[in-house]
Amino acid sequence: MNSSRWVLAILAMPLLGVACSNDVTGGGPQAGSLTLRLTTPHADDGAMTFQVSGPAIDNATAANASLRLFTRREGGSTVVGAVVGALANGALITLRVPDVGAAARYSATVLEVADRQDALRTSLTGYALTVTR
Amino acid sequence: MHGHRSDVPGSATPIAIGDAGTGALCAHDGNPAGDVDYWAFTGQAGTTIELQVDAAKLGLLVDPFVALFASDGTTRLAFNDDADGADPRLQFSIVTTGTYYAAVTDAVGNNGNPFPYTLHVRSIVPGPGDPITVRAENLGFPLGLAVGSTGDLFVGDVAGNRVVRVSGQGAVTTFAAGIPQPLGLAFDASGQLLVASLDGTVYRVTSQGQATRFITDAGFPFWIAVARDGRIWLTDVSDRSLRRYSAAGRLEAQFDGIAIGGSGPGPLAIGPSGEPYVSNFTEIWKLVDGQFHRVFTNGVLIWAFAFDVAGNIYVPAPTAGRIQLFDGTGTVLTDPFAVGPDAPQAVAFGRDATGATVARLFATDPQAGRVIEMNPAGVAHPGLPVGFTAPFTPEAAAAGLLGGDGLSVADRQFLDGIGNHNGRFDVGDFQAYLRTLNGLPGSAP
Repeated sequence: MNSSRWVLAILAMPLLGVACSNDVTGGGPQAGSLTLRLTTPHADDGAMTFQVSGPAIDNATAANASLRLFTRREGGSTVVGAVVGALANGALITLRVPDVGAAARYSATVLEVADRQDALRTSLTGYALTVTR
Repeated sequence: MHGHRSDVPGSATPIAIGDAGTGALCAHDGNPAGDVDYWAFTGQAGTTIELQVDAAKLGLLVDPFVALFASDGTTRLAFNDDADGADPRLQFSIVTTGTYYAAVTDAVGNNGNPFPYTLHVRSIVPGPGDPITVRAENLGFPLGLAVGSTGDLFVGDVAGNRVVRVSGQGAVTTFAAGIPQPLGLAFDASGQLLVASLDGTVYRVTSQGQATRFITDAGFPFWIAVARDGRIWLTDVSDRSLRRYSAAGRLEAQFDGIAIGGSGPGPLAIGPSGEPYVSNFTEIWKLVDGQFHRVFTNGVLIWAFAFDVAGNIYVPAPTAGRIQLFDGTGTVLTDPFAVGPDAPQAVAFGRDATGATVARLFATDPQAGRVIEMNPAGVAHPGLPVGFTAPFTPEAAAAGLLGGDGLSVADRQFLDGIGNHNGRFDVGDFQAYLRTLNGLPGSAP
């Protein structure tokens, strides 16, 4: 092997490595985090209960320190939770899942919402939860 | 020892402890305030003296007063009007050796009939709560007393239309201003201070001192207490009732207190089993299953009492100028428990920095404008915890909210009462419960 071939071979090795790595993970589930995002028509939501169903969920945490989350597993594929704090449009919960590629198979539902004075919302129109990568 | 007595401390008639002196209050004395007889004696630090005036008990239709002044002749240390019928008697623990002045006068100033009297100056055995320590003074007319979760004292100043906060170091600050003539005080389930006002409102005061009207359907809310379940009890002088409210301030029940007699129901406290005790000012009654039962009758006026963990009752007796100690059945354990107070009207146990109730007893002493502490060496037991006690953890409440077992029907009703009381336990109630526990994000721990 002459020197120029040697240099090309050395440069190509990482690329081959990357290609091999992609081949391994691309064929199976990839553990990671998904985000449960809230859409709300109100600016003074204080607490909410919700349900997430679909593939397995390893755990759930509040998306930031201004929220407090309580969860309960209901069967193997459903998690119900209560989140309290200054709820707003955007990221609400971080879900740790075995396969982030399955994000589209999760469904999330708002069950109850209370305003910051503890009054229960009489209508959930305009509320939505989505699971995104 | 008798004759016409001096109207000024500087020329007071000397009298020795253990002696009695006779005098006469004269209707047409030149003093515009009426005749005032001053007597001077030497008090030794560490002793307790008693001043007693006999006049009405001689069959005269009179109403004498007695007051004790410090060595400057102007600082009033103690006062009494009607300890023994219309005759006055006071006790005082001497802290500083020096000259003290006893002043004898009467209710009608210089317009009444002249009458003779006898003044007794004697040394007495103090109670286990003596000597007292002054924790705050110059407070106007301090009446209601509640102890915060870190041990600070909250005192209603009737004259100043405010609530003051007295720190453990004795620093006095105005906590909430603009509350007309505050009476009873208690902390609610959310840790906010409830203040019964003479304007007919119970105010709720945030930890930042912001007061808002909270209960407005009582005619004359007088005294107030919060039970362990967070419910609010108050006595309403306008219809002489004892009322129970949810933690959210909704009227739940009303009990007619006219039958207990006297002027009650007045001062109020929650007893060891969670039942409310009220005073009719000479007796203490408790409410059991909606019925009042008399606990005991006292010989002197009773004001706002407090329980220790053993179920004993510390009773301030303002007209007698002392604090008494009874067991839970009304048997006298120690009387006097303390004679150092002038006219104590509300007592409360202290709390430490963690909120635990401790064996320290405080009292308001309105006539003297001060808050005092009894000698802690004489306080045998910590106070019975007062106010709301969280019945379960936030996690247990959350599990119940999210479909788990563990909450009873009563628990769910309680949580609904804490919150939006719409008839079921929901996420709004859960949020309210977290708030009571300072468990909302951003709350103080």
